[in-house]
Amino acid sequence: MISEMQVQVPARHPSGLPQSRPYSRWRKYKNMVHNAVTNPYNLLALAAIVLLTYFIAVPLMEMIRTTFSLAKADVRRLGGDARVGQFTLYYWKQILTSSIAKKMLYQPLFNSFLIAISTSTIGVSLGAIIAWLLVRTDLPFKRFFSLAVIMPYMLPSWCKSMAWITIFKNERIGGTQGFLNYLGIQTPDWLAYGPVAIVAVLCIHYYAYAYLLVSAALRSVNSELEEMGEILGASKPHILKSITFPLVLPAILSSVILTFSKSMGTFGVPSFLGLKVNYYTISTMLHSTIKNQQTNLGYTISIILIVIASINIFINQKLIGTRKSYATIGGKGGHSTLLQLGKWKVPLTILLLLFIVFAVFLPLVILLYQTFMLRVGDYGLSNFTLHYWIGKPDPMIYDGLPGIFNNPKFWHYVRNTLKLVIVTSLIATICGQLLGYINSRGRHLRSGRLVEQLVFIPYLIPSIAFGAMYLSMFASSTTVDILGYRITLIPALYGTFTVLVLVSIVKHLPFASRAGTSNMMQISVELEEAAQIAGAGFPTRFAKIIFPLSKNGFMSGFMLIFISIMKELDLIVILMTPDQTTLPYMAYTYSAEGVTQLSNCVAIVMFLIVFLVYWVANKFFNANIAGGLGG
Amino acid sequence: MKKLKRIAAVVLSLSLVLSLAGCQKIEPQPSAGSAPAQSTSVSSSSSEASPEQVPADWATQVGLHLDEPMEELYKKALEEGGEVVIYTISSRMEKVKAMFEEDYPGMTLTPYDISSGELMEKFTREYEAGIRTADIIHSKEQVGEYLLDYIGEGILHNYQPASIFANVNPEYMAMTPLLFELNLWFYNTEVYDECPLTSWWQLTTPEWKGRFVFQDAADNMAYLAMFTTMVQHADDMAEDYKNYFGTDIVLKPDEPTAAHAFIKRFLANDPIMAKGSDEVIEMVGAPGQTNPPVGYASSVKLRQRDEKGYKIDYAPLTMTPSNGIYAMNFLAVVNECNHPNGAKLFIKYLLGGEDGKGRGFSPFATLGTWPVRPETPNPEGNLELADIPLWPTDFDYVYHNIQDVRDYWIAHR
Repeated sequence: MISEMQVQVPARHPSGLPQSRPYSRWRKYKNMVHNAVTNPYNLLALAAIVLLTYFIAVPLMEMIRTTFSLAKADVRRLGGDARVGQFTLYYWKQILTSSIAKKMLYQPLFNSFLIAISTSTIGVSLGAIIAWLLVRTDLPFKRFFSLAVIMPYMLPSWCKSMAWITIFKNERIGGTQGFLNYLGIQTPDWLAYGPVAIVAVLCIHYYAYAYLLVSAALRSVNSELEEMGEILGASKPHILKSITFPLVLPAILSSVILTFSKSMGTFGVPSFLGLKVNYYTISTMLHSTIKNQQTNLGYTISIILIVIASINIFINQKLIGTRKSYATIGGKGGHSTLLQLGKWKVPLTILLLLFIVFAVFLPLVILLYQTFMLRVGDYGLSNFTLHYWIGKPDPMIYDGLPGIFNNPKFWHYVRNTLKLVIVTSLIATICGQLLGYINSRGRHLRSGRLVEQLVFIPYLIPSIAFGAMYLSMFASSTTVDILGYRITLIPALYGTFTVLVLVSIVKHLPFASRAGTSNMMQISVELEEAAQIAGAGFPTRFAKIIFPLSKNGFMSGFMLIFISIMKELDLIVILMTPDQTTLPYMAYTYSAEGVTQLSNCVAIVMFLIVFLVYWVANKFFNANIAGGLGG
Repeated sequence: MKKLKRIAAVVLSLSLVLSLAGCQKIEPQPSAGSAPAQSTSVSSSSSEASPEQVPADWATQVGLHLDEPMEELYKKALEEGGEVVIYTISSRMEKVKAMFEEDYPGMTLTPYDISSGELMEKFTREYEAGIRTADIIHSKEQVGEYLLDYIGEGILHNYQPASIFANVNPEYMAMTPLLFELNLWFYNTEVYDECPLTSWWQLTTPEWKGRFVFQDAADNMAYLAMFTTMVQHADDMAEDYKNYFGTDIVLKPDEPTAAHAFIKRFLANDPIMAKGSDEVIEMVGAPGQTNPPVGYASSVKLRQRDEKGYKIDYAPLTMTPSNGIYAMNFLAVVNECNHPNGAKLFIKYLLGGEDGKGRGFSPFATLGTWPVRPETPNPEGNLELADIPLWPTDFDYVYHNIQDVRDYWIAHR
C-alpha cells in the first residue's frame, strides 16, 4: 500500500474547470501544500505530535532539568553561596558516588533486578503454560478456567500482599496472629517477608499479563501449521518446540518486557512485604524520596529507572526484530484442532485447579473472611461481625468509623472513582484508536514512528514519578504574552479533577495505542481507499468504516484501561485532594492506619465492580482484554 | 461544500491542539490575592512571591495582631461568608466541626484531614499556584521548616491573642501552639509487669535483637528530628552508655559521636520497621502474644488500650537519658486567606475559648495529649509533661543538620 501522504489525488483537484494555462510550478506547490494540509493523516499526526510533546516530552525534559537544579532544602545544607535553582551536580553525585549511594541506589537496584528477573521468568512461564493449556489442548472446563485465571488481574497487587501476610504472618513481627500461626504452624521468616514473598505475590499477579498476551498469540496461530508437522510425522514435543514455540516467542518476549518493567516499577507489594525486614527496592526508595519532599533526588532515581527500562526494551527489540511483528501472522485457520492431552488430562486439570484455588480464590476468600472479623487475628466464630459492612459508628471500634455502606464518604468515593474511570478510559480508548490509526497508516513514515516513540515514553516512567512530574508541571500556570494577549501555555490544574483525568489518560496511552494499533492493523487500507475513491471524506470513513469494524477492539481496549485505572494508586496518589479520593486510595489509607477490615471491604467492592463490568463487556460486547493487550 | 468541510476539519484539529492552552486578553491587574504571575515575558507564577506584596501588611490589615472578643469575630466571620477551611492532621477535627457549627450557628467548618507530609506538599503547591483554599493549617512542627520557611517568610501567620495565650510558656510561642504529643516506647502489659526498657542502649544488645518496632526514620520526619536532636545531645548518650554498660563507649571510625554509634548499632540489631504508629501499637499490644516486641509510637495511641483492647502502656519516667522530643501541634493562618475572621474565631474556639474551659478542645483532651494552656486541665490519667525526660527542640539545629543524619541513617540501614 502506498501511504496516504504520497497519494496525489489529481482526479479531485479542481482541474475540471476550464483552464488553458499549462500546469504551472506555482500551482503544483499550491496543490502539494493543499493536499498536505487537508490530508487527514497529516492533520492527525500533527495534532498527535503537538499534544504528545506537550503532555509527554515537556514533562520529561522538565524532570531531567530538575535533577540539575538545586532545591531549597538542600541549599541550607550546602550553605555558602548556594542559591535555589542554580545548576548543580549534587543530586547525581549523591545518588551515584556518595556515602549513601550504595543504600540509595545500588543495593535497591540489585534487589529490584533480582525480583524483576525472578518474576518475569517464573510468572511468564506460568502464564505461557496456562495459555497453552487453555488454547491449544482439550483441557475440560475451559470457560471457567479462562475467567478464573484473569481474576488476579482485577485485584490490586498490594491486596494480595495483605492476604499473603494474613496467611504467613509469624511471631517475628509480633501483633495479631497469622492464619497458619493460629493453626499452630510456625512459618519461617524468609517465607513470610522479603524477596521470596514478594516474588511469589508478584508472580500470581503478573502471570495474567503473560497469559493474556500468549493466549492471544496462540489463537492467531494457524493450527494448520501444527497439523502439517503432525502429518510429516513429528512428535508432539517436537511440534511444540519447533513450530508452536517459535511462533509465540515474540508474545513471550513481549510479556517478559512487560512483566519486567512492571515489577521494577511496582511499589505496593515490596512496600508491604519488604520494608518490615529492611528490604528495599528501587521503587520503594523512589516512593520514599518523593514522599519526603526530596523530589530532585526522586527524579534522579526515576531517570535511572527510565534508562534501564529503555535498555531493556532496546535489547528486546533487537531480539525479536521489530516489536509487534507477530501481529501480522496470517489470518485464523477456520478451525483449529486441539491437542489431545491423553493420560495427562486429569493430572493437569487437577494441578490447574489447585493453582486457581490457592493463587486466585484463596487471597479473595481471606480478604472477605477478614471483613467479618471484629478483631483481626481471632479466627473463631464468636468474632464474627457485619459491622465493617453495615455497622453504625461505634466509638469503641476504630474511633467510631462506620461500616462502609453506612459511610457517606464511601459513596462519594465510589462516585469519584466511577467518574474518573469512565471518563478516562473512554477518552484514552478514543485517543488510542486515533493513535492506532496513525501508527498503522504511518508505520513507514517518520511522523508515524515519532508518534509511536512519543506514545511509548509514559510506559517507561514509573507511575509515582509520573504523578510527581504532573504535579510540578500543573501546580502553577505558565503564561506568555504575545501582541497584548496573554496566552496560558500551562494552566494551573493542580487540585482539579481534570489533572487526574489527564495523568491517567497519558500514562495509559501506551496501552491504549497498542490496542488501537492492533485493531487498526486488522482493517485493511483497501477498504478505506475504496471509500475514498467513492468520494467519502475522512470523517465519513472513520464513522462508517473504521469505527464499526473496530468496535470490538474498542471495547477490549476500553476494558483493559478501565481495569487498570480502577486499581490505580501510585499514579494519582500525589495529585489527589481529599475531595477527589478514589476507592484504591481509601483502601490503602485504611490499611496504612491499621483498619484492615475496612480496607478489605473497599478492596472487595472494587473487585466486584471490575468483575461485573468485565462480565457485562464480555457477555454483551464480546470484549476480550487479551485482544486489547495483545496487539 | 467539500472545501468548506475541509476548512472546518483544519480549524477543528487546530482548535483541538490549542484547546488545552487557554487564551485570554490581558486585563488590568486584579487586587492582590490572585496568582502573582503577572509579569511581561514568559514567566512562571511559582516560588518567588512578588516583592510589591509585603505579607506583614495583609496580617495587619486583617488584624491578626488584635485581640477582638469572640462575639465580634463571630459577626465579622458571618459577614465574610461564615466559612472556615482547615487543613489538619487530625481526624478529631470532624468532632470539633460538629460542636463549632452548633455553638456558632451559620458557621461552616470544612476540615481536610491529611497526613503531615501530604499536607505540606499540598499546601505549598497550592500557595505557589495562587490558590487559597485553606484558611488555617494545623500540623506538627518537627524540622523547623514551618517556622523558618513559612512563618519566617510570611506564607503563614501566627495568631496569638493575649486572651488565649497570656499564660502559655513563652518558650513555645515562636508559633501558635495547640497541643503536644510525644513519641514514646510502648510495651505489652500482658507479658511485662513493668516496662522492660529503661535505656536506649538496651536496644543494641542481643537480648532485644529483632524484638523492637520502629519506623523508617528516612520516611518519618518526626523520628528523624528526634535522632538529629539525639546527635545534638550526643554527650547524654555517651553518659548513658557508661551508666548502662559500666564502661566508656569506644567509637569506631565511622561513628563520629555516641549518638551516631547508637544509630548504627540500633540499626544493626534488626529493628522491625512498621508503616505507622497504629501498626507499631498492633505489633506490641495485640493480646495473646508470648514474646511481644517493644515499639516506639505516638503517645496518643494509648487510647487504643480501651478502644481496641490492646495490652499497652508506656513508662517514660524511667527512660534514660531522654524519651526524645515533643511534637508541637501548631495552628497558623494562611497569608491572604479568604476567611481571616473565621480563622481567628476558630483558633480561639479550638483552644477552649477565652476562659480555656470551652468544649472546642475537648476532642483533643485524651490520654497522651498535653494541652498548651495552663487553664486547660490535663486529661485524666495523663502524666505531667514537665516530669517526662525530653530533649529541648532546637529547630535551628534540626533544620540545618537533619539531612546529614538522614544520610547516616540510610547508609547504615
